[in-house]
Amino acid sequence: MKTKNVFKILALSTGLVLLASCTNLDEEIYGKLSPDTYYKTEDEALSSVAGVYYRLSYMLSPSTDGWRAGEYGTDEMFCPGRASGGWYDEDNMQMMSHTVKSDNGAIKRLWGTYLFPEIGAANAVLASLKESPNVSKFNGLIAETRALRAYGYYYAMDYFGNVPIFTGAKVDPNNLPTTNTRKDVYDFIVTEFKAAAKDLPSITAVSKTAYYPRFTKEAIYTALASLYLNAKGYTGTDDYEDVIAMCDSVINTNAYSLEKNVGDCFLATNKSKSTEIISSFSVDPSKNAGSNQFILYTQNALDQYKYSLPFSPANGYCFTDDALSRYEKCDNRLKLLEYGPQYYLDGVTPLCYSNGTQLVLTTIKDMVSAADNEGYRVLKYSPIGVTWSGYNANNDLVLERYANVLLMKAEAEFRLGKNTDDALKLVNQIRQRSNCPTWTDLSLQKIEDERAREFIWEGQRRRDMIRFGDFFTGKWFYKTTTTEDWRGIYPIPDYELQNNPKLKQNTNY
Amino acid sequence: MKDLIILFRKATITALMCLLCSIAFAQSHSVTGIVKDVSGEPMIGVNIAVKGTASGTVTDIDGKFSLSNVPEKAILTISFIGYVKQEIAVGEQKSLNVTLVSDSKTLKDVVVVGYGTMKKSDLTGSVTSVTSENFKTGMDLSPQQLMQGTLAGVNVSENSGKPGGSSTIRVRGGTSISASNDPLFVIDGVPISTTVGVGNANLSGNTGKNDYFDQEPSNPLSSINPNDIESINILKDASATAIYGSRGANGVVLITTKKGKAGTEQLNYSYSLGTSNVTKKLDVLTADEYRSEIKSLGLTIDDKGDNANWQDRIFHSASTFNHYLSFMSGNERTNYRASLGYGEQQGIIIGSNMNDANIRMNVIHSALNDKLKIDLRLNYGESYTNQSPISNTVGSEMGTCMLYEAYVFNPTYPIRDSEGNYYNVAPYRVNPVSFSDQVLDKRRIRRLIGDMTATYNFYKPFTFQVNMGYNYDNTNRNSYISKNSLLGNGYGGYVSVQKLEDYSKLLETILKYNQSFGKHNIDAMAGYSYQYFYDDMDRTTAYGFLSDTFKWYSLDAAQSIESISSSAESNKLISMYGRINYNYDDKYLVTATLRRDGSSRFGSGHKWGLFPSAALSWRISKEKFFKCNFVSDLKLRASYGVTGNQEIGNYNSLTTLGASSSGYIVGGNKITIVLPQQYSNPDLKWEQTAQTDFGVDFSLFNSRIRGNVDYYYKRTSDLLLSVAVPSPSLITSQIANVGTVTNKGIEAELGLDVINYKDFSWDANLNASHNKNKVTSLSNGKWTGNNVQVAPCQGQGLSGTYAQLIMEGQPLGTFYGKKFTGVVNGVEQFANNGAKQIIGCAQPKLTFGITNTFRYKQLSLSVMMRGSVGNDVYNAMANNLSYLSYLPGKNVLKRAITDGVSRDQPVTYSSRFIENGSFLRMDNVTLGYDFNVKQLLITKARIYMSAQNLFIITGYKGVDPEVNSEVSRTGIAPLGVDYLSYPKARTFSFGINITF
Repeated sequence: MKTKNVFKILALSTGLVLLASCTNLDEEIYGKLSPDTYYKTEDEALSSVAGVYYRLSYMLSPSTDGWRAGEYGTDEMFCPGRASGGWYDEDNMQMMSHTVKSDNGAIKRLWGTYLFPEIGAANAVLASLKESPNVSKFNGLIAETRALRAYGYYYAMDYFGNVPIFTGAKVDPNNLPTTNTRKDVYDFIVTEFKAAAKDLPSITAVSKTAYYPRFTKEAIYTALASLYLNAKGYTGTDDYEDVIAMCDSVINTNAYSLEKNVGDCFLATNKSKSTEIISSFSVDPSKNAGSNQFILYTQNALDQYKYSLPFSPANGYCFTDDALSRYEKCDNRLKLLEYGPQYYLDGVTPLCYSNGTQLVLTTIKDMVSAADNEGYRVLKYSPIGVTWSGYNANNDLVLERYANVLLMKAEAEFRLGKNTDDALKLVNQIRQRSNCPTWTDLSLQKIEDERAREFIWEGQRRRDMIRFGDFFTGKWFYKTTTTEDWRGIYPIPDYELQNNPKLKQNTNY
Repeated sequence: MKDLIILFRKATITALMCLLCSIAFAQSHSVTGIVKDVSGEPMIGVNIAVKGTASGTVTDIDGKFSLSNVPEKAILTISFIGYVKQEIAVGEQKSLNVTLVSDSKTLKDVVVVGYGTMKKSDLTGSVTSVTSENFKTGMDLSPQQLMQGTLAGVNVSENSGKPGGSSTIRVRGGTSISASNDPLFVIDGVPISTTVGVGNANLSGNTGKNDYFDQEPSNPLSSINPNDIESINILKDASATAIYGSRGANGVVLITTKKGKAGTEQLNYSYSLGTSNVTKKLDVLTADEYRSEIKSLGLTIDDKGDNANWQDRIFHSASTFNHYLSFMSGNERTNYRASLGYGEQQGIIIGSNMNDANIRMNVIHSALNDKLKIDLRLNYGESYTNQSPISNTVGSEMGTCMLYEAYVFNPTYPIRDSEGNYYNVAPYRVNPVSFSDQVLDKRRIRRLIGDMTATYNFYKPFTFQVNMGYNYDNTNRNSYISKNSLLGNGYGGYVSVQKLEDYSKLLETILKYNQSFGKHNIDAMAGYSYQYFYDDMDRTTAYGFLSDTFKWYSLDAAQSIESISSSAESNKLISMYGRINYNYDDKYLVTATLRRDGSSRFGSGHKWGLFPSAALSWRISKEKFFKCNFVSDLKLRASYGVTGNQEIGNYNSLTTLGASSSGYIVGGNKITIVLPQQYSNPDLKWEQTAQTDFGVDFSLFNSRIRGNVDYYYKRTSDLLLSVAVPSPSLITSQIANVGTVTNKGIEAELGLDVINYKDFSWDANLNASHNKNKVTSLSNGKWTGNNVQVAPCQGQGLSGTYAQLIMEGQPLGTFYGKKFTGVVNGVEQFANNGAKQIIGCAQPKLTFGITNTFRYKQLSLSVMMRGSVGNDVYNAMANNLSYLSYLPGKNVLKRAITDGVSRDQPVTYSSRFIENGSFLRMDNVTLGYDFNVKQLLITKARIYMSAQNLFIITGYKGVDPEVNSEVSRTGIAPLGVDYLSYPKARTFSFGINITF
C-alpha cells in the first residue's frame, strides 16, 4: 500500500537523522565578550577604564552611602525621619550619632557596594590591560586605572583604616587577602598615586574639552596633597612639606583659578568650562550616563514650584544652626544655603503651602519625626540650568577644586609656621571671593571654620573634623557627648569578616 | 470517569487487537453480541475470550462481536480495562447483550511514569497521582491548584491571589538553596523550561528602579486549560525520577491531556460564573482613632475630614466567567479531541483583571496494521493581564505599592480633591486608588506547546519511538505611569516596553523492549534526548509625553529614551538513558535506571553527570504463605538513586565582559562601559541528590481501604550555592558547589470507601506529610562556608536587616533575630541584650489534606480541607505597621497603640512578629447535581455550586498564613514571610456542564 510505504520511509528516515545526533555541549554566547580577546584598541580599553571612573563616581553621588559617609557624623549634615513618613533609618542614625556597630548596613554598603567593587574593577581591568598584546598603547590608561584604584583605597583607608591591599585580577578563595595596617595602605596609596602621576598627562598638555573629566597629573597631585595633609592621623607622622610641594605643582601650572562664585563650580552648564574644577565625574542622565539626585534628596517638596522642577523633591538631608551660625551675614556663600522664610526666585513672592502659609525653614527639632520645614538646605548642585531627566540632574560631581588646593597649602604653611603671610593671603583669597572681610591673622580654628564654610556638603568635613580633633571633642545638636578616638575609623563590616576570616576587626569594635 | 476509561482502552486497544487477531479459530458454533456501558454507549475493543482456550475476539466500532466455533458449555470472559470483568455461560444463547460496569478501583491502578505508563501494582518507585475525576471544581483553577492538598509529599501554595497568579510547588521539601527548587514539568512528554518563569520575572524593574511593578513570575502552565487535563502524576522518589536524571531532584510533575475516543461523537460545553471577595483586611486605625491618637501624641494632624478605610477603596467584589467547549470523535484508526476555552477574570483589587483563551487539538492515528502510531498534540494559549502594581520588595518610604498605600494612607482623606484630582501627600504618599488608572501594567503571554510522537512496533517485542516537541513562549509587558501620578514624579509620563521570547526544541528517540518468558516479564527501554533552549529579550524605557494617550503605543512621542537594552542566551541538555523493569510473577519487581546527562551550563570537564537508581518491590500478598483475607494487596518497596539539579541560569562557568546599561561621558561623548559581568568557575558541576525511599502500598477489604506510606531520606550535595566573593571584587557573588542539605520525612495517603450503597456513598481521601529539612554543611575545600542571610526585611527602618539565616545544622527557613520578651515602660525588651538567636522556623512539621465526597442519588457534595501545622510565619506587615513613629505620615495597625511601645522606639525585627502559621483551610466545597437526561439529545448534564477558600482557622494575625513572599528573580526566595502579596480571594461560583 502506498501510504504504508510513506510511513515506513518516514519512520526510517527519522531514525537515521537521529543516529547522527550531536553531543556538543559548548555554550553559545550572545553579546558577551571575553577579557582574553577584547582589549585591542584604546577605545576598547577606555570602555573599561570609563567603567572604573563610573564606579568611583558613586563615592560622590548624593544618593549613595559613599557620599553620605563623608558627611554623616559631622556637625553639618543630618537626615531626620520625617513626620510625613520617610527617611528614618537606624543605620544612618548610628553614623550621625557616632555609635556605628559592625552590623551597620550603611557601612556594609560603603565597603561592599561602593569601595571594594571599585577597587576590584580596577584590579580586573588592570590585569586585562597588562596582559593585552597591545599593552604598549595603554600606558596612560593603565596609569589612570592605578590612580582610580588608589583613590578607592584612599577612601577605604580614610574610613576603615586597616584594609587588605590586593592587586590581583581576582581573589583566590584559597589564598584570601589579609588586613594591612593603615600605614601600609597609606604607603601603598602614595606609591601608586606617584607612579600614576608620572604617566598621566598634565592639564596643560591636553585639550580640556576633549580630555575632561579624566584624571590629569594635577588631579593626582591634589589627591596626594589631601593625603599628606591628613598623614598624621593616618600614620602618626605629619608631612606638611609634601602638601605644599603638591599644591605648588598644581598652582604653578597656572591652569586653574577661582570661579567668581563658589556655586559656579557646580552648575550643570559649567562642567569642563570651569576654571576651578581639578577633578570631577561627568553626569548626563539624558544619555543614560550617570545621574545627580542631589535636589531630589535634599530639597523641600515646595521647591518644585520655586525652581519649576518636574518633580517634587523628597526632603531628606539638611543641617542645623550649628553650621549656619558659622557664616557672617555678608558671606556670599549664604546664597547657597536655604534657611528661614522661603520665597520664589524673585526673592519677594512667598513660597507657600496650599493653605497659604509660607514655608519657613527652621533648625531640626525632632530627629525621629521632623516636620516638613525642619532643617536648612545646601544648594551646591543648583537646579538652575539643569536639563532634567525625571528627577535626575546633569550637574557633574565635583571631587576636588582649586579652592581646596589654596586652603590646603595655607593650612600646611600655617601648621609648619613658615610662610604664614602666604597662608593668610591664600585664605583671604577664598574669603574675598565670597565677600567676606579679609583677616589679618590666622588660627587653626579659623582655617577649619573657613574650610567648613567653603566646603559644606562637599565631603571634606568629616576628614577635617578628625584632623582638627573636634570630631572627637566637639558637641553639637545630635552628638552631645565626646567620641572615643577609636571611632575615627569605622568597623570592618561583619559581612566582610564572615566572607574573609583573615580580615581583622578594628580595635574596640 | 468515562473519559478516563476510554483513555486506557485506547492505550491498550492496539495491543489487544494485534494479539487477538492473530489467533486462529477452529470450531463451528457461533455467538454474536453487543457490549455497552451503563449509559448505553456501545464499547469498542472489549476483549471477548473463551475461557480455558486461546480463542477470542474484540468488539468493533458498534460494540458488536461475533465468535465462531464456541464449544457448548463454554464460558465467555468479557473484559475491558477499567471495567468489572464478566463471565457468561453461553449455553444455548446465540446472541448476547452485555453491559459492563466501570470499576473505579482498577483505574487507579495505571499511572503515568517517565517515558511510559505502568500498572500501579508494578510500580517500584513512589508515584502519586490525581485524575480528572478527582479534580476540584471552581473558578480559574490553575493546573497546580488541581493537585493542591490532595497529594502527600507535594506541597502547593499559591504565590498570590492575583488573576493568573503562579504557585510554588515543593516535592518532599526544598533540596537546593540558590538553584531552583521547582519540580520539572512534563506536559504530554515534553519537559517545559522553567527558565521561562525566570525570564518573565526578569521583565520587571531594572536595577531596583521602578520595581513597583509586580514582580511575580507568570505561571508556566497558564496556557493549559485544566479541563483538558486527564491526569497529573508526580514522581517523588529517585527510582521514579531518575529517568529524568539531571532535572529530577525536585520531583517531576507529569501532566497528561485528554484524548479522543474511538466510536463516539461527543460535544461538551461548560460554563461557570463566579464572584470573589477579599477574605481579610488589616485592622488599621479608623479615621477617628487616627485623629485621637495623633492628638494624644501631641502631633499636628493633616485632617481632610473624611472617614475612610482605604482597603475598602481598593478591594471590590470581582466577577469571573469561563466558557469551555470540547469535541471528540474517532474511529479505530484515527481519533481526535479538540477544545477551546475562554475566560475573563477580575481581580479583587480594582484595575486588575485577566482574559485568557486556549485551544487544544490532540490527534492520534494508527497505521501499518496498528504497528505505527502517531500522536500529535497541539496547545496554544493566550492571556492578557492588567496587573496591579503590587510588589513585595518595596514599601520603604516612597509610596510604591498600591496595597501598602492602602494600609498606610491618611484615613481622613477623600479620594479626590474638589477639582477631581487624586489626593496625594507629596513626596511619599501616593493615593492608593490612583494606582488603578495611573499606573498601568499590561502583560500578554502567548504560548504554543506542540508535540508529535511516532511509535513503531517494527519487530515484535521491540518498539521504536520518536518524539519531537516544540515550545514557544512570547511575553509582552507594557507599563505606563501617568503624567499625573506622583510615582512618575518628574518624568511626565514614563513607559516601559518589554519583550521576551523563548523557545525550546526537543528530540527524543527511544527503543522499547517488552517480553515475557513464562513468569518472567521484562520491560526495558533505552533513549537519547536532545533539548535546546533559547531566549531573548529587549526593553525600552522612555519618558516625557505630551499626552497620556501615547503610552507604549507611540514610543516616538517620548521626549527622551531612558534606556534600551537587549540580551539573548541559550543552553543545551543532551541525555542518554535506560531503564529495565523486571517482574517475576507479579511478585518480585525490580527497576534499574541509568541516565547520563550533559548540560552546557557547567564547566568543561564537568558537563556530564551520571544518575543511577535501583528499586525493588515485593508484593507480599501474592505469596502463598500470606493468608490474610482482609488484605487485598500488600506491597513493600525500596529504592535508592541519584538525581541532579542544573537550574542555575546560563554561562556561570565562564568569565564574561558585557556592556553596562549606563555609560560615561568623556570629552562630551558617551563611552559605552564594558566591565566584567561574572567570573568563571570552571569547576562548576551538577548538584546531586541521593535519595533512599522505603514504602508500603496496601489495599484492604476488597480495596475499600487503600493507601501507601513512604519514608524517605534525601541528601543533596555539591549544592549550587551563590557564595560571596571576598573583596576586593567587582563581582560580589558567584555560583559554586558548596554545601549539603538533607530532607527526610514520612508521608501517607489513605483512601476510604466509607459507605458504598447504590444511592448513597461516602468516599474519603486523606494525606499527610512530615518533612524535616536540615542544612548539614555550607563549606567545601575551596570556599569557606558562610551563613547566608536571606529574606531581607522590607520597610522603613528595616532595610538591611534579614529575617532568616541559613546555617549549618538548621533547616532552611530558620528565623534569626532578637528574642522579644515584653514591653517595659514603652520600650521593647529583648533576651540576652538583644543578641540574635534562632526565633522560629518556616518549615511545617505536618501538612495534610482531607477530601470527603458524598453522593446521594444524583446529588454530590465534595468537601476539601487542607492545613499545615508547626510552621512559623514572619508577619512583616505587622512589623512595619506596629510602631507609632509611623504616625502621622502613615497609618498604623491598632496594635501599635495597644502593644504599648512608645513613639520614640525604632522599628525592630524580633520574635514579636514571628507567629505560629498553623492553619486549617476549607479549601473547596462543591455541591453538584447530575440530571437524568437519557431521552434527550443531551447525554449528560450537571450543575454545581462551589465555594473556594471558604474559611480558614488559624491563630495567625496577618491576612493569610500561607505565604510566599518575594518570589523575585534574585536571591533566595524565602519561606514564610508575609509581606504585601496580592491577597487570596474567597470565591463562590456556579457552573453548568452539558455533554451532547
